[in-house]
Amino acid sequence: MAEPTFDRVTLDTGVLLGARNREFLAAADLGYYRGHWSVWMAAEFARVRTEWIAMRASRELASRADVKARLERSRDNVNGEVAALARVLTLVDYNSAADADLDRLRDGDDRPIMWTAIAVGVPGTLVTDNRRDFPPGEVRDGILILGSVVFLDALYRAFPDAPAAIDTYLGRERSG
Amino acid sequence: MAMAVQPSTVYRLAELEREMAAARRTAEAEAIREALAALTRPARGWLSTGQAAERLGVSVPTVKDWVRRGTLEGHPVGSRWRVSSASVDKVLDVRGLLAGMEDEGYPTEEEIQALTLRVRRQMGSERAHRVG
Repeated sequence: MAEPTFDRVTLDTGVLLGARNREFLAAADLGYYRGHWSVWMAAEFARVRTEWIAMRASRELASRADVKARLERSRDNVNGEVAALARVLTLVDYNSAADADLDRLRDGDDRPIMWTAIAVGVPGTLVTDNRRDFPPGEVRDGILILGSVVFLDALYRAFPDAPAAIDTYLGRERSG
Repeated sequence: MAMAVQPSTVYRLAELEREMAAARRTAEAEAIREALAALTRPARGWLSTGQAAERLGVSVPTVKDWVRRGTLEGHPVGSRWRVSSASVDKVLDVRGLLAGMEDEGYPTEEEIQALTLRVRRQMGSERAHRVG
């Protein structure tokens, strides 16, 4: 499998929403790789995170007033999360690559993700767990597609000091 | 609080101080060093490596490593390093928000896939509507 380019990495929204996002952001801020995103992804992150919080609240809370109160609190949290991502990731204009022909993507709504990766630069790496449109391990339009676990494994192989540095950054003790 | 000095200004002055010292213009180098020391006091938005380390809960060597990596903004002022207070705040903000996110929890992989698909459809149709 081709090795990722650590200076031109695009993170799909799903990766930013997942439980290992702390590792991704800490590693980017520590300079182990350069992470990128676009306005599209920022908007998508905010919407998905808000919908998930609403979904969970309606599952856990009985009264509409409680659900509403939690959503009010969460709005500030989500805004803060987007601001934190913006401090670490580099924003690119995906419209600059919007002339790339991506009709082969099964889901046309995934095109802004690939446009973002192309706008970051070729050869580049797209980290995504959306296997439906982005087959892991393949190179499309000069972009190597990797799942989040595989990308982090490659990063830690390339920089063996990274896991300990990330733990220090996150202020957590390292076990074992 | 006194106005914070821009990191780029500190960087240029530090460069100038090194150039003066290399050219053996000792008086000029000393004057720039004195000005830099005054401009990079905590009240002006700059911290010593020890102060930065304390705020971040890490060691001084870690602070120096983070400056080298670009995670923190810092410059040598004479024989000491000064670290931008704003860059320390940035790391604390990011760390705090990520911890908050962890406290609130994460969607499962299946939830992410399902919600992303739905939101992406909405955004796709909104974009098509705007373009059309």
